[in-house]
Amino acid sequence: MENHEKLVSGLADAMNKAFSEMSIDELKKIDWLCWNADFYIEKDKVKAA
Amino acid sequence: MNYSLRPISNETVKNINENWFEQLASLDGDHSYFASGIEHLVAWCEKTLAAGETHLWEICDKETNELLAIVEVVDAERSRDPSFKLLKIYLQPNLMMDLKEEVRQEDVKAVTDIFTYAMGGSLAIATSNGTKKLKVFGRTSEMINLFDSLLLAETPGYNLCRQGRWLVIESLGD
Repeated sequence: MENHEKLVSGLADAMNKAFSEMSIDELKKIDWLCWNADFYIEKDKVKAA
Repeated sequence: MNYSLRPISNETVKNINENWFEQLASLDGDHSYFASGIEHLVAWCEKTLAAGETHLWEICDKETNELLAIVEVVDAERSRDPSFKLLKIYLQPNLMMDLKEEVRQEDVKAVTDIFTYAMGGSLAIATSNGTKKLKVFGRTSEMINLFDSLLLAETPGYNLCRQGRWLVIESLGD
């Protein structure tokens, strides 16, 4: 496997592991996974207040 | 992974208009926020095409030509620390986590494959332009934490580090 393929594969393994350890609420605050990350972040701030 | 990464075209705009709104319409509930977001994305694509700019790219499934994501990659070669910058990925509605009540393993795998393909592809864009470095921007603290997890990845031939809100991927080769 060329280094570029190994890079993508290595990143995918690490990202899969990281995502699998997150709750759905945490996933919804990842920038690219959510069009409305701000909504969930603000909701948490209101809950905490 | 069987994807393609290429500059957007009029076909991309047609694809978003035909398929992404249809995906939203098939979901339960009020998704006017997302519809508005997609309208803004379409307008941005059209403006980018009209101006002849090249910072928006599409990721498609090679076999079906399904439009999976739009990626924003900008050329920062003239900055003090020359690089290309991956600023944002816009996933199709069917892949968006905030439109899902339940997230399955295959949902996570699908987005992981697209994100890492986008990173690899953006770095390839950088190196084809003579730059060895890609910086990936993280807006939320959750994204920054994700970057820190990626620092543990096995990436022979590449160096990864985090600089503030940026994940930096640098090719060590010639």
